[in-house]
Amino acid sequence: MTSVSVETTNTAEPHETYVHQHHWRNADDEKDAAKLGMWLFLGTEALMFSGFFCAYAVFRMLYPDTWKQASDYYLDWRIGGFNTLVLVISSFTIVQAIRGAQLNKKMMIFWNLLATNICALTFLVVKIGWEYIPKIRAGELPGAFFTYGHGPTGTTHDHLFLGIYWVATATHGLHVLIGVFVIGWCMIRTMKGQFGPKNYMFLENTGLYWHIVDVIWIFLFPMLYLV
Amino acid sequence: MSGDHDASFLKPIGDFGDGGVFSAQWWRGFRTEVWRWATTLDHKKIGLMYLCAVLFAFFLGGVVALMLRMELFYPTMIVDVTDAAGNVVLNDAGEKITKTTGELFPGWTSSKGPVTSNNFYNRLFSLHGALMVFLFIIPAVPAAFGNIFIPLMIGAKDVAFPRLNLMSWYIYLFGGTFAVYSLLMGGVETGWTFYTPYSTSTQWGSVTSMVLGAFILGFSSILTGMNFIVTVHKLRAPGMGWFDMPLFVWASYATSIIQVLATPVLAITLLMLIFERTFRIGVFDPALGGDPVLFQHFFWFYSHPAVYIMIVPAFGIVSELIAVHCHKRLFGYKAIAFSSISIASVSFLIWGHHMFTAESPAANVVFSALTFLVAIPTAIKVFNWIATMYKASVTWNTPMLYAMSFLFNFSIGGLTGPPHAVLSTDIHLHDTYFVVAHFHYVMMGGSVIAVLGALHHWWPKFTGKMYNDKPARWMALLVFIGFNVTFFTQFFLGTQGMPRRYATYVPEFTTLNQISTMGSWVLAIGLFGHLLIFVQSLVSGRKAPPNPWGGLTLEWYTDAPPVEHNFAHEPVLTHGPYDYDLVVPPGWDPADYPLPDPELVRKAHGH
Amino acid sequence: MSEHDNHHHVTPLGPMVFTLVSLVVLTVVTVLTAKFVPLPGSGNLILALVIASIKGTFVAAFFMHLLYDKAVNTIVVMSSMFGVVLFIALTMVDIGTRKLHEPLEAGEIVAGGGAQWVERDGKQVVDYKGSYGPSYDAAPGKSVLDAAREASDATGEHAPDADEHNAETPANDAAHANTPATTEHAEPAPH
Repeated sequence: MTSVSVETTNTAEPHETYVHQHHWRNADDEKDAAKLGMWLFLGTEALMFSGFFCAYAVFRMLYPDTWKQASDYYLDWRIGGFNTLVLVISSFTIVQAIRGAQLNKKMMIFWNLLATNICALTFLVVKIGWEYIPKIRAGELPGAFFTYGHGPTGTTHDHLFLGIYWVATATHGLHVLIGVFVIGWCMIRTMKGQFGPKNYMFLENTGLYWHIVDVIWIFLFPMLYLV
Repeated sequence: MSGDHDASFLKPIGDFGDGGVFSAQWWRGFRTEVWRWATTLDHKKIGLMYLCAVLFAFFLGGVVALMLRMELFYPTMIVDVTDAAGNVVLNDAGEKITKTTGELFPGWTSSKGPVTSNNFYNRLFSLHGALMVFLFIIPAVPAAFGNIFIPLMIGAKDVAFPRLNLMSWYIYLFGGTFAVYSLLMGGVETGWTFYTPYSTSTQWGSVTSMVLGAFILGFSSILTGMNFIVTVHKLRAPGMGWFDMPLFVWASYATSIIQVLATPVLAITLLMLIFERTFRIGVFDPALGGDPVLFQHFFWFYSHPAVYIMIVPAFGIVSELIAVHCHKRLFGYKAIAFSSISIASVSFLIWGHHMFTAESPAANVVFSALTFLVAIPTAIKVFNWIATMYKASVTWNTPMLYAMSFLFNFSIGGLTGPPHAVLSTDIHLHDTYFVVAHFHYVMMGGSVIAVLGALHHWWPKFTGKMYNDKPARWMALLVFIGFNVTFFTQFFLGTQGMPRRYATYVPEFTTLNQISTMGSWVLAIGLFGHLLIFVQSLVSGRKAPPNPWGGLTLEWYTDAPPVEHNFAHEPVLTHGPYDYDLVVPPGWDPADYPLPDPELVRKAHGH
Repeated sequence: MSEHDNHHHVTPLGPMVFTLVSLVVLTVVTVLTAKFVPLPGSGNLILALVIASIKGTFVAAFFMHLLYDKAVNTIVVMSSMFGVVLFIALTMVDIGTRKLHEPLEAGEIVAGGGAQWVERDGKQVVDYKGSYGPSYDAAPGKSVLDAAREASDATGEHAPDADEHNAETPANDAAHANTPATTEHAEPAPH
């Protein structure tokens, strides 16, 4: 592996006095456990979203033509594509934030977290301002609230497509929103000097969470917007 | 909490100073103590709170079950529900006359019998199912016994994430509150499975809040599962390898895997059901091109593995009971351990067998074939337990009686499974009382019996009090007889074609139904007797020794009840969990426990 | 992975930049192929999902450090992916195979199941089409049991009339028309 080891003996920041919780034998065990727990949580996230993917797969299989028509008609791939790039970049910046913690550079953590959050907010603003609000105005809403009139497919599959589009993207958007708050909390903790080479577990787990949000979007984007 | 390391974690209960009961000082002490329990991070306290909650849910669900059986005592329906003013609220056919909320309660107070309309019966069996599945049996073993005993058995101070553990307890309470709320608002009539399209179209009652309750309870289950997996991976005592773990820990580990992998799908299923009810997204709505059977796929992808969340920890308990009370090395330790894991894996492949009458024939064939697989690891376990008991010096106390009871009931429950896996017989037996009897033999005859066994087995450990074993043995016998009378008759009813979920039946089924109902009374008497014995033990039981049964797993090395951080000194494992032929149990006199010649044993086991 | 007091693992910069670049490139490739290179059938869908999987793997391996972490985390990911695939695949096995046999309509179910006597090339043959259950094509014939009943009726009185097995006779009508008392010992009619 290409993992690098560097000497950081000359740093004596306040966070270096990190003490692990009493029921752990050592800090390494605690760190590994926190990471394993986070990965298990990410596994549950993937399985939760698999419900949307499964519903999508089933209806894409049952109604391939109308599904494609609805996708082309209701969704603009340029918005989805832009948001994909934004999320990919934010994933990179949060990796850089963790790198900052490992190198014990407080401001590197902070600026990268800020960049991540700006990306996340951009995603949400684009999503809501350029997609959700126009759609709500036009009445392109799930079944009970659908007032658009005659859709492109001429069938009720419009409702179905929009139903899955709304619940899947809204659930994903909620995850992004939660991410914004957690990353904001990380920024506060950074400024308090709580992250350093020995204690960036919380930061790393936040990063893992943020990446899974990214990965889910990587799948949602082509499925909903492109094909 | 207390700085004193030797203090038992239960020590301060009821001891609130010298001021006397209900004095100002007593109240101060009481409030402090309640606050301590409410904010505790101690896995034992959280586990005990879970235990009380699940037993209460079991009590409620049991009362409802007795009402259901009462209704089925006679083949016909008792008519007309009236409200307090004497107006007819529900007519003979169960149709609503006027809309009122909380119609459950007119039914309770009606002078015409306990169950007074078809709809009320529907509400009752849905309530019974939802209470027993979501509030009792899924958290019973993992969250209650698992919480208390997994850290003790692997020699840890606590679970990996104590705060998450407390959170999962509060999420459980929160979800339970939703369930109780929807019960008060009229309950649900959908059955605990919430099948579409009925659940998406019915305007009755409070399906949304009940579904939300189950959704929230699912998170509690996920957090518990995550916690245990990490605990088992990271907090085993020094010297304890994977194959030095007690089999209860193995079983709980397998259960946790299922909880983590399956429950999220339940979450999304119920969420989509809520969306369907509120937004009509159309996924389960055929009018919009959706598919109601898709809901069954979603639901059973969780709920079939959930069946193993209910039974696999019971396997773990039975392994412990048999090893300890037979004082013998478990036959085929690794086979039992791996069979737990393989049951967990196979459980994800076979959910379609709940839908043989609903899905496509090709899928039927696939799921039918896969379903047979699960019989293999299950049979491995049963054979190993029996082989362990062979030529053992068995102590016939209550836990062991329950282990025997489990083996008998579970074998029947297990062997009536393959008829459901075979397509041709399943079409005949689908939705009959045969199914009801089958899953009660597994869930009640398996899991609940194992829970009762575990209660008796570990009662001295977590309360520090002995119970009176002789009456408990009689009650165990009553429970066994009552259970079998109640449910064995239902196999006959099912093969004769009595459908489940109906409040009435044709008169030909009367005799068998009446026998079944009378069996439920015997069962209730037995369970009530156990309750009395436990209360007596708490009030005036003699103090329990740390190791009353002669167990070798680590929980028997600490005090009864355990000290604040489980062990006075961190335990280091020096022997396997079932080395009964090599080690004198802790706290026992070697004179009372003659070991075979260690050298011979060593050679025999190839050590 | 044991961490000494003065040694810390630092995420390498190079692979991360590589990952970022490839993610951007692959996103562009997805859009271009999906929008401007129409493939036959589900080709575009499959291609897009393959690219998405590659992107997801890159994120997991590099950004999420799976490559540098303990194997157990990878096992967790693998098992949850296994669950996802299983869930979607086995559900689609059901939904996707429903059309393999023809859907039943109310009133079409008759005694005798799917195997029917039908006339083909002027001969009476048994058609096992849709052998899972009752199934009828556009020109329904007669179920094997019905044919047997007719035959046993006929043996007592007159020889079976071939014209009675006309393909235009609906099978359920035949079931109503032919309900003789002696069906227990009926045998298929030799034609």
